[in-house]
Amino acid sequence: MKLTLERAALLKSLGHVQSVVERRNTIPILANVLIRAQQNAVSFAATDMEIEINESVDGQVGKPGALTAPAHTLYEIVRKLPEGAQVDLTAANSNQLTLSSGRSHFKLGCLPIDDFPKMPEGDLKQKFTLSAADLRTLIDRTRFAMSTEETRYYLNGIYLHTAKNKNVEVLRAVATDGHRLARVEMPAPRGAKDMPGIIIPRKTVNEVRKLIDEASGDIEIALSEAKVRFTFDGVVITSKLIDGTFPDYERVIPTGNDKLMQVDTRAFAAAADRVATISSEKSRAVKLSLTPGHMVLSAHSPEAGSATEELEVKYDGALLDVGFNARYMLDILQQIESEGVSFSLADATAPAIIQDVADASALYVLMPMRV
Amino acid sequence: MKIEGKTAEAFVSEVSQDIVSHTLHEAPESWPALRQALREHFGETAYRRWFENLHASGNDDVMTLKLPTRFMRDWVEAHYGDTIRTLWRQLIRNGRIEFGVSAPILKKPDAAPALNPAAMPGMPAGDALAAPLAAGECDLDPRFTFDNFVVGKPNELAYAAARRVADSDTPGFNPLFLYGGVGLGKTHLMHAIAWHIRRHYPQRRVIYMSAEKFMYQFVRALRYKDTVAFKDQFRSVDVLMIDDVQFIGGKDTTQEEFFHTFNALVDRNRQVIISADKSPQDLDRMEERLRSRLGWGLVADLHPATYELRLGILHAKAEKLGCQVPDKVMEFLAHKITSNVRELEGALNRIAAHAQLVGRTISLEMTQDVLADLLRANDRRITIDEIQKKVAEHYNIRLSDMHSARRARQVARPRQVAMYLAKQLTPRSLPEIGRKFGGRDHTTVIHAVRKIEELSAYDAAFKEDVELLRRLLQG
Amino acid sequence: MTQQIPLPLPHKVAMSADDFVVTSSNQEATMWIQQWPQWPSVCSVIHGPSGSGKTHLMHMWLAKSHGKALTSHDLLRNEPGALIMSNRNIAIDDAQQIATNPVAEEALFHLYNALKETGGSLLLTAEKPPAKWPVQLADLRSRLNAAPALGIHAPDDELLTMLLIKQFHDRQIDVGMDVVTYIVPRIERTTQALREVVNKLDQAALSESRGITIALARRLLS
Repeated sequence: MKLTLERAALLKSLGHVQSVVERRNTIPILANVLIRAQQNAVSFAATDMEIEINESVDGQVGKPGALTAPAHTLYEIVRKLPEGAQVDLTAANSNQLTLSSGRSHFKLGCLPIDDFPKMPEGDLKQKFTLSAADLRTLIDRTRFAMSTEETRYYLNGIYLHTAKNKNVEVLRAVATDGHRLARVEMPAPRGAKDMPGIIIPRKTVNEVRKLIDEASGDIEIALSEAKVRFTFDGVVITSKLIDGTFPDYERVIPTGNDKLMQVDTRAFAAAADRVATISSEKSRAVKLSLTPGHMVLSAHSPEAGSATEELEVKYDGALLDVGFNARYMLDILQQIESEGVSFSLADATAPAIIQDVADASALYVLMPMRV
Repeated sequence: MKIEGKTAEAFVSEVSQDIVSHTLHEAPESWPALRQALREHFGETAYRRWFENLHASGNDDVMTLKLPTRFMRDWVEAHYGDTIRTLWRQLIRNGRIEFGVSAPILKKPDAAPALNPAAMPGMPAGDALAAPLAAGECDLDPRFTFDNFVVGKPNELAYAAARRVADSDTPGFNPLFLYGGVGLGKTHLMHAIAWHIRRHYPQRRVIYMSAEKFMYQFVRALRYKDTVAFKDQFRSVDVLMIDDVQFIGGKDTTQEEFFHTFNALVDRNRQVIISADKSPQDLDRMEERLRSRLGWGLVADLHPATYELRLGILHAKAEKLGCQVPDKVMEFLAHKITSNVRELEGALNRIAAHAQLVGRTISLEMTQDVLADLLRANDRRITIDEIQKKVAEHYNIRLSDMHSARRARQVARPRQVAMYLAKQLTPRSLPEIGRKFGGRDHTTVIHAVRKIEELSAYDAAFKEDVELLRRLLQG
Repeated sequence: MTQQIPLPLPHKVAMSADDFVVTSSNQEATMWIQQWPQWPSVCSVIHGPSGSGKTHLMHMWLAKSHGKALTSHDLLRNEPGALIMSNRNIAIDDAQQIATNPVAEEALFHLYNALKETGGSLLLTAEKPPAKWPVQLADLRSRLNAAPALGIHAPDDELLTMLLIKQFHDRQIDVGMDVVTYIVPRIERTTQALREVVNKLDQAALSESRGITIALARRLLS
C-alpha cells in the first residue's frame, strides 16, 4: 500500500474515527483504524462493536492495499505534524505501516485486517432525511437530559419515534434521567411514518453531534429495530440501539398545572446561576418563592451562608415555594432562545413544565427538590 | 367437545405427546459435559438455582438452552451467558449457544386415578358445546335426571310429585310448586322432569326457563316492541317450568306478564311447574294475586339433607364420577358439609377434579387441604408468640427459654423448631424472627430452619412431631 | 436535607405465560389454569394474598381461553346475555368486591347461570376463598362454595428470589445476584412487602442517580 494525503484532511478523518475507539480495550484490534486505499479514494473505519464509523476521502493512491493501525497513536502523530505537511503512508506488507512526512518517520505495528470486526449489515428499511439544522435541534434540545447512570440502560440515550400531535405526524426526540425530561418534535419527514421507536445510545448521539457542525447538506437516516445509520457527506456511522423499552413518558407530563409564571430568560438564568453559588456543590438546590408579580430566588448552605435575589415576573397565582436543582434549570434555560420562558407549576412536589414562550416545539419537565 | 377446532381427545393426546417429546428428546452430545463444567464453575447452589432446569436441544454446533421464563432467560444470558459460552467453546471449538424460553412442564407428583371425562360435571358429552344454543331453547344439564337423584326422607314428597307430573298428560295439580333452600335439588328435579318427557313423550313441548331469563326476554321484547313473539312462544307449550321465581320479586311489569302467561296456560289445562326458595305465601315483593295463584296446586318442599342422605348422595356421585373415594373421606364430607347438596357435590367434585388435574391421591389429608377454605372456620394470623407458647408447652420447657441464651440441647432444639414454624407460618422477616427469639441474628434463624429440614428428612418421628405442632397451630 | 424528587416514570409489568414463575407455592393454581378446558365446572376461583400472582394467572388464562376480563363495574352496567355475547369465557379480578352489593351479587349469579347455559367458563380471583366472602345471595353463595378454589400459598424463598428478579427486570434495572441474595432473607416474606422494597430501592436509586447495591439495600432495610 502506498498513499499520500494532506495533513489537514488526514487529521480530520482520523479525528472522526479515533473518537469512536475506546481508550482502553480488552480486544486489541478494536484500538486500530482500518485503512483501505483504492484508486483515488482512501477510507478509514473504526468500531467499538457498538458503533462503526466509516469515512472516505480523496487521496493520491500510489498502490492500493489495506491495513489496520493503532488509531490514537496515528492521530497523535498526525496532530503534531506541522500544518500544510504532506503525509505518506506506506506498507510493504500488512504487519507494519510507515508514516513519513518531511523529516519525520514512524513505523507502527499493524494487526491482521481479517481480525477487524465487521458489523453485520442488516436491513435498514426505514429511511428518511433531515437537514443538519433539524438533527442538531433534536439532539441539542434533549441530550443534556440523557441518563448517565448505567444500571438504567434504557435511559442512556435519546428515544426517537413518531407520534401524533393534534393530527400532525411528528418526529419526536425524548430523553430523561428520571429527574428531568426533554421532548422536542418537528413535522415528521417523509419516510419516517410508522418507524419503530428507537433508543439511540448516548455515545452514538455524541459522535453524531460532533459531525453535524461540519456537515453541509442533508443527513440520511436509515434504521431498523436493532440499528440506526447516519450518512453524512463522506462519513457513515452505524450503531446498535439500546435494547430496552422507553417508559411511557407521556404519563409524567402534567396537564393540569394551573400556576403560570413567565420571566425573562437571560435575567432568570443569570440570577439562578448567581444564587446557586451558595448551594452545596452536590445538590445545587435553589428555592423559588412566588408571589404575584415577584419571584425571590434563594439558597442556603450551612457551610457557605445564604443568598437571595429578587426578580419581576408575570405571575398571579397563589403563593408558592418550590425548589429546583439550579444546574438542571440552567441546562434547560440554555436551550431557550427567546426572551421569555414560561413555567407551569402545580405545587412543591409535582412536576413543572418549562417552555420557550416563542417556541412550542420543545417541552421540558423538571421535578422539584425537597428543600 | 371441541376446542379451537380440535376434539378434546386430539387435544389431550397432543398435550401428552408434547410432554413426551420434551422429556425424551435427544440432547446435544456434549451437554452432560457442559452441565458438569457449569456445576464446577458456579458451585452447587447457583447451579441448582439457574442451571438445573436448563433444557438443552439442538446439537453440539448450535445448541439452544431453554429456561422456564423469559426473565430467567434474560437474566441467565446477561449474567452467565459469556461464561457459559466460554465453557462451551472449551468443549466444542466454534460451538454456538442460543438462549430461549420453554413452557414449564409440570410434573404430577403421584399417579391419580383416571376419571371418566364423560361423567365430569359441566362437560357434556358429544358436541353439545360446539354450537351455541338458539335463544329460548331450553338447555338441560345431562346429569340432572331422575336416575341420578338420590331420594331420602327430606326430599321424597317433592320427588314423588315430580315423577307424577312427568308421567301424566293432564295436570293433576297445577301448578306444581317446589321450594326449599338453595342447592337442595329443585333445579335437578325440574331438569329431570324435562328429560323424562323428552324421552318418553317427545311430542309434548316443554319449556324450562329461569325466572331471570323470562325477565330478560320480556324486557328485550318490550324494548324491540316484539311482545307478540314473546307471548307466542308460550302459547303452544304443554309444560312450562320457571325456576327461581323469587327473582321477579319487585319487578312489577314482569310479574304482570308472568301472571297472564301463567293464567293462560292453567286455563288451557297446561302443566306449570314453579320453583322458589320460599313457599308461595312467603315470597317477598310478589303481588298478592300471584302469590295466591302459585299456591293453588301442590306445594312440595325440599328439606336439608340428613347425614344418611348426604352419604347416599356422595356414594352415588362418586360412582358417577368413576373415582375411588375412601369411606373415611365420604364420611368426613357428609359430616362436615351440611349446608346443602350443591356444596356437598361441589366438594366431591373439587377433590375429584383436584386428583385428576393436579395429580394428588384422594385421602383424608388431601381432602382437608383442598377444602381448607370451606372447613377452616377462620384463617386468623398466627403470631410468633403463639408459636413459642405452643412449642414450649409441647416440649415441656419454659417459655423464657425461647428467648434465653441457653444452648443445652433440650432447649435449643425446641427453640429451633419454633423458629422453623415461625418462618413457615408467619410472613415475618428473618431478622424480625431473630429479634423475637432473644435478639438473635437472622443467620441463626436460617441455621435453625436448615437444621429442622435436615432432621425431618431422616427422622420420620421428628417430622411427624413438627407436623403435629403445625396442625395444632393452624387450628 | 435536600433531596431530588424523581419523575414517576411508569414501567410495564410482564404478564405472559413466559414470565410466570412456578414454584411449590403456586403450582396447583398454575396447573389448574393450564388444564383448562378440562375444568369440571363453570366457575373456578384462585385466591391468595395481594401481589401473589393472581392477576398474572388470570391473564395467562385469558390468553389461553381467548376470554375477556370484566370488572364489577361491567357487571352492574350490563345484562349477562350482553356480557357473554362476544365471549363465553369471562374472568373477574378481585371478585370479592361483589359481595354485599346486592345488585352486583345478583348480576354475578345471572352471569354464572348464563355461562353454564352456553358452556363457558368463569374465573374469579380474590384475596380470600369464596367461603370467606360475605355473600348475601344464598343462591350465589352455594354456587361459589361449590366452585373449585385454588389457593396460592405464602411465597417460599425460591419464589421470593424469582419474583425479586422479575420485579427488577420489569423495571429494566440491572442488579447483581449479590443484591438479590442480600435482600431475600431480610424482608417480610410476602409479595406485598417485596414489591414495596423494590419500589423503595428504585425510587431511592433514581433520586440519587445511583445503582442498586448492597450498600443502598442495607441503608433502606435498616
